[in-house]
Order: sequence, then C-alpha cells, then structure tokens
Amino acid sequence: MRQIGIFLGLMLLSLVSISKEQALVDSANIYYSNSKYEKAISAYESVVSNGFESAELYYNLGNAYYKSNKIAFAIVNYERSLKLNPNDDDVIFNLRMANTYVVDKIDVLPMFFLSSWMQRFIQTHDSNIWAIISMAGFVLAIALLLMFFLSNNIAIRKTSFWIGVLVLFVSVMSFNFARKQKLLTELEPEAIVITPSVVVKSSPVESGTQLFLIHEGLKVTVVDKLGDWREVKLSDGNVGWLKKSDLVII
Amino acid sequence: MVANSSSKNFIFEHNFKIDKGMNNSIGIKTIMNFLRKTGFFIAMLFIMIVFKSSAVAQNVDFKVTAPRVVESGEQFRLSYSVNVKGSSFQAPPFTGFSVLTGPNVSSSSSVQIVNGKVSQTATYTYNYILVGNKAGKITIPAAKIKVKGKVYSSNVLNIEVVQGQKSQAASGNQGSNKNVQTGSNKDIFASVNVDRKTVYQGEKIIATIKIYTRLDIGGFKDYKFPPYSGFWSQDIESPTQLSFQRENVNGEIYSVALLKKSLIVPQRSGGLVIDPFTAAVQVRERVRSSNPFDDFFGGSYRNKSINIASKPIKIKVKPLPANKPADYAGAVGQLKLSSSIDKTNVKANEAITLKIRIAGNGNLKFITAPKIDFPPDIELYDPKKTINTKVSEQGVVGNITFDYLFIPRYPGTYRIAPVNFSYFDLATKKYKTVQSKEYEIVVEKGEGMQEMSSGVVQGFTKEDVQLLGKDIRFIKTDFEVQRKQGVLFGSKFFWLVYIISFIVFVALLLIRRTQIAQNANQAKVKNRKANKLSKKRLRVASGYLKKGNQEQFYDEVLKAIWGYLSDKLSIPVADLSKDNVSEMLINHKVDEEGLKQLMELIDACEFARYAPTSVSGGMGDIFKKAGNLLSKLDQKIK
Repeated sequence: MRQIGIFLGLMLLSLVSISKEQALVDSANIYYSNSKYEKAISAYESVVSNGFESAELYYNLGNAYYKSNKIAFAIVNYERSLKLNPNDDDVIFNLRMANTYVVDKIDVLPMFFLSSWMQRFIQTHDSNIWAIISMAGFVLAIALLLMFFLSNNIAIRKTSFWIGVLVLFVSVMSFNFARKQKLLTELEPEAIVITPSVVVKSSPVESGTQLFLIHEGLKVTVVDKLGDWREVKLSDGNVGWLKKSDLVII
Repeated sequence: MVANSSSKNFIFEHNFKIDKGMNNSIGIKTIMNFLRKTGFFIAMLFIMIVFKSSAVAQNVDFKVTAPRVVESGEQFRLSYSVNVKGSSFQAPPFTGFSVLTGPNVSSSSSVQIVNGKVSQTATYTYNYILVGNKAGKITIPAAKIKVKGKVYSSNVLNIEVVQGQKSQAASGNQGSNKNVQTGSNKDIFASVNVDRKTVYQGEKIIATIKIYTRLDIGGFKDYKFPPYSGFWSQDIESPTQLSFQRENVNGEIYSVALLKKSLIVPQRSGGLVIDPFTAAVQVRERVRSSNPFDDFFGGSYRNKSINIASKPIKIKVKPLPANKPADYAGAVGQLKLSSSIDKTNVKANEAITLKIRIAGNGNLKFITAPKIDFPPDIELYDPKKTINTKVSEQGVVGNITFDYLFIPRYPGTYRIAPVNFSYFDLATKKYKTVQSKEYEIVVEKGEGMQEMSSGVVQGFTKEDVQLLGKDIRFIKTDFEVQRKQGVLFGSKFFWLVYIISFIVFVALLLIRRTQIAQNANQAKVKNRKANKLSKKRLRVASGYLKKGNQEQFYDEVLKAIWGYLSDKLSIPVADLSKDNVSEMLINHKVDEEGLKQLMELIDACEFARYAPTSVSGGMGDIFKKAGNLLSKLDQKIK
C-alpha cells in the first residue's frame, strides 16, 4: 500500500515537471527554427540533464549539434534516439548524413547470417520492452495453465494448454532478449569518438605502442575499462586502448 | 627644350638624367658658365622675335625657386621666374641674407612646331646670389610684378639655414675632394622610407626610395630595386630624370633625389622585410694635378664606383581580426557597394544584366565577384569584371564592376536575393557588411515559346527534379518527453511479477486440489449411506402399500431409486437423467439385464403415478422388484 502511495506521488510530481520540461522543449524548437542552434542545444541539454528523454528529443538535439558542426555529438544523439525508437526513418536518414562526415571508413566484420538476423531482431526493441513482454507473457501463461488445470471442459483445457505453452515460450525468449540487451548496454556499451583524431594504444598507458588512428564520429564498442582508459573494439574487429575523455557513451 | 641657365644636364647610361642645378655653391666656374649661357640667350631672343607674331597670351605664372636648405656662409641662387614679360619687379626684403649680386635679369624662349601648330613659351628670370648669415628658418615674403597693368605675387619661400662646417667652407672644393677620396658612405647613401611600419594585412604602405649625396654623381652602373616579396606593389612615381633637392639630414646638407615611389600592400601577415636597395654609383672625382692651368680650365676628373645599399626595413603586418563574417573574401579599405539591373520585366529567354559596383579606396584589384543566389531555374554566365582604378599616394582608388548576365528560361516571378559584401574597414578597424538591393524579376512567356507550342510536332522534355542541396531533415515538434526509465530487467518489480504470479498459480492449484479431495470424501459418505437410505424409503413405501395409497407409493419408490443412484454415482439429483445414468452404470460394469430391469422399473413407476391401474403385477410386484434391483446394484457399484 505504501509503495503504491509513493508511486502515485511520483506520478503526480512528474506530471507537474513534465509540463515545465515540455515548455523548455518548445522554446528549444523555436530557437532551432530561428537558426539559433547554440541556444537550442543548451535548452535541449537541460531537459536531458533534468532526467527526461524521448526519441524525438535526442533527434532534435542531434540536429542542433549537426547544424553547429559538432558532428560527433550529433551522431551520439542520433544513436540515442535510435536506441529508443530503432525504426525512425528521419533519424536513420540524418544519421547517415552525419556519418558522411566521419573520416574513418571501416569495413564491418561479416557476421554469420543467422546471428546477424537474431541480433537485428533483438535490437528491434530495447531491454525494457522485452522485459515487459516477458512479464506479460508469463502472467498470461500462468492464467492459461490455471484454466487448463481448473477447467472440466476438454476443449477449453486443450486450447488453453497449447496457447499457454506457446506464451510461456515467448515469455522465456523475451526474458532472454531483455537480459542480452541489458548486458550489452552494461558490459559492452557503444560509444562515439569525440576527439578529432585519437591514437589507439596497445596498452592502457601513454607509452603504449600506437596501434591505429581513428577520428571524430566513429562508433566503437567499449569492451573493458581500467582507470581512465577504455578498451574499445572497432567494427572491423580491431581492439585497443584510449582515454575515457575521447569517448561519449551512447 | 627649356634652356635653364646655370644647369648642368647629364645623360647617364641608365636613362637617368640628373638635374643638379642651383644647389652647388657658386664658384668661378659657374659664373663663367652663366656668362656663356647669357650670350646664348641673346641669340635665342632673335629667333623669338621672328615668331613673335604668333605669340599667344598666357596665364601668368610667377614663382620663386631656391634651395630649401643652405649652410650659413654659403652662396646660393634665388631666382624669380615669370612666363610673361612684366614690369616694375619688386623684390621682397631678404632679411637674414646678404645680397651679393642681383637682380640679374635674363630671359629665354622656346618655340615648338608640331604638325604645323606653333606653340611658344618664354621665361623671364630675375636672379639673386644670396648668402645666409646665421642658422635658422627664414621666410622670404612674396615678390611682386606688374603684367599688363595687373600686379601678381610670387609664392612665399622658406629657407632653412644650417650651421656650416667651417673647414669645408674655407677650403671649398678641396674639402670635398678629400671626402671623395675616402669614399665613405657618409657622403652617399640610399634609404627606403615607409610611411608606417605596422599595418593590417591588405593595408597600403607608401615606400619611397631616395638617394642622398654630397658628391658629384656621374651615373649608376648597376642598381637593384627591392623586390618587395610578400607585397603587392605598384609604382606611383618613377622619374626618368632625377631632380635633386637639398635636405637637412642631422644638420648636414645632402642633395636628395627620389628614385622611386611605390604603393605596396602586404599579402600575408607576420614580419615582412623590405630588402635593401643596392646600387653601384659612379662618382666624379677631381684629380689633383700639379699644373695650375688644368685647374683653371675645369681640371680633370676621374670616375670612381661606390657601392651603396639601404638598410632592410622590417614591417609588422597584423592579421585581420578573427571575427570574420562568413562571406568575407579579403577586401580591405573603405568601400561602397551599389547595384543596378537593366530590366526587371522580361520575356523568357531574354538576357538580364545585374551590375554590382564596388567603389572606394582599398585593395580593389583583389576583390572577387560576390556570390549571388540566383534562383536555380535561371541560366547564369560567369560575371564580367571591369576594373577602373588609379594608384596614387592615397592608395588604389576607383571602382570595380561585376556584370552578371543571366537568362531566365521559364516564366514566373523570381527573387534575386540581396548580395552581401564584407570588407575590413581600416578607419574603424572593424568588419563591415554591406548589402545590395533585392530584385524581383517578372518573367512572362516568351514569344519563342509560344511559337514552339503552336508548332506541329511538340516534343516534351521531362526534367529530373533538381537536387539543389543536401541537408538533414527538420526537427520534430510534436512529441512528449518522459522521465528517463531505469532498466526494468533485474529490478525488484520485474522479479516480483514472476514470483507473485507463480505463487498465485500454485495457491490456486492447491485450493482446487483440497476442494476436490473434500468433495470426494462427501461422495464416499453418501455412497456408504445410499443403501440404508434407499431401504428406509422402501420401508416408507411399504407403509403406503399397506394403506393402499398408490400415488405416494410410486413416488416414494422413484425417490428411493433416484436418491440411491445420485448418492452412488456422486451426481446431484437434478442432473440425473436416464441417459447419463445408463452411461455411468455401463462404466460401473452393470450388465445389460440389470440395466434393462432398472429402466423398466423406472418407466413402470413413472407410468403408474399417473395411471396406477394399468401397471401389471401391481404395487407388490413393483416393491419386490425394486428391493431386488437395489440390492443387486449395490453389489456392483462400490
């Protein structure tokens, strides 16, 4: 009961502040329309830092960065927008535009087609959506199995059993997807290089052997960390260390 | 053409003509020269008289010339010249100077015939030989002369008298001989002067190259002007004849001649160096001889070569401030922009010219054609550039015109956006952006097009949609923001959903289980009591039998049978029917015979309730059958 009370209180509070943030977003949109991109950026950023988000907000912020020639930050925000809504045509188009400014051309390591399908399928929804699907599926499966156990009608029992098993399977799968998505974002987050050019080292020290040079806007995967250093993996499979400050996690 | 008394003209191998008159101290030699020339002038006068008839009235030009700087004790010439014969010449008082001779009047005249046209000039000169008494700046007021009844004034003259070097003045030419022999660079040097040493990139500098001498220059053997690397340069003045002026340099008098004056504009920022001017100068040097007659007849001279070089000059060029406007293309100066268009109402396929004119003072030659946003459907040709400038000490002044020729191909109304032109204003040290006018062009259907459309065969050419530019898509405006959500997976709520729904599932199953078990218990009890209950009913029925109450008898027998079946088969009485009973009984392996008997008995009882008489065997038979049947069933159904 108490938890519900807290939950309702939070809902009310967020409704009040949401209208405030909405006004801030509107003002930022007007700045953008009047080509005052720097002001638009600061307004959008303050909405984000207040703990609010939406796919469109990140998209607009990305546009504002693009217009002020900060391509790396534009890419970061487009990618964030895609994380929330992976199928938005406008975001995909603008991200492609922004990526034309990225210097590095990296051949993506080919993947086994089944696993790439699988990955693409998993990435259609984020972890939370999969988690909700899994939870709803589980509850439905329980209800269907109860029907199976409690009903005397043979037809009802038959259908509820098979549907129940199917729903349970869906629930287990989406549970797995949710877990995978969460592990990806936590253990191997994607990041964008923001420094104009960075030398990637073989070890997390300044004196490490220089392995290769990458440029602003490139998307990498963070696979390990040590102090201020991050081990990144490029999409062509190359791995090396660079400073935390050269990256922005998506 | 102009014969000037007391001037010595040299023509050197490099086309330098050095006019070195009026500034040498007048020795015996000069006076002799003077007398010789006067004789020449008398001859000239006769020639003049011949042409007198064609003499034309002229503007009176009355002026005075004298060296600007003299040493005290030095003799020098001051001469008034007028181009028309005048009368009652009135000299001003020469305070501060002593007049040695004068006024000596002389005149010269020249006649020129070009293609039959005769032009004539004459000069009347009043000469004085003066000597300065003490150092200081002395102003000589204007002299007056009357020409044709009108009084004219000459200009006012300033003469600076510096302290003379006594030894030199005393020993005269001998002193200077000594200097020549040493050939020191103090007697002859060159310098490059600039009007400022710190400028902005693109700002003009006036560079003046001068030669200073106290020697008798015979000519230039070799000379090299600075290349002005890093600058754009243009000569303003480059005399072919050197005219020496006297100047006071740190208390010493030099003859100074301008070699070249240039306008230079630095093309890059940083420290630039103007390389030295170098020359090999031939100096005439008198050779001393033992023969006194040699001296008297002018002596003998020999040429000596002296190398001179000016000092290199460093120029600090400041870069233009960083806050450049986006369209800035390097223009510096004080500029104005104007635009004009020859027509705004045209038919399709007619050419229009838009003129952009930039005028003022600045680096006009480096201005590139401003970019004009023409509507994309218009055919545009490269702009024509016309430069009209004059280089002077004020800089490059003039204007530059860009003619943009364009042809609208389709009817419609087009807007030509205003042109922005930015330049760096040297007066305010700020960037300025000026804007031209905006034009609207109305294009009507051309006649050529109409003819085409009325033609017999009309081929339509379809055009691809022109991609004018590439840009990102616009922002989204209609959306709502949400509070950022944490990761649901692994949260308490997430796990609770699973656990609670599972617990509910198990609990419901357990409840159902126990319910079923309880129900089964009840059925067992009923089963056990079924026989007893039916027997009790049958006993009641036998009571009715004895009383002869048929209706109630059959009723009671039916109740006994149905009640027994209900209890034994665990089916509520209301749900019982002959169909489901027979089905259940077959399941309990009751044989056909017994089942048939049971059905017959039930039928008989039900029938007898409404028509008692028609039942065969009567109540006693029914009663016996029922008793037998129930005990038989009881054995089968456990």
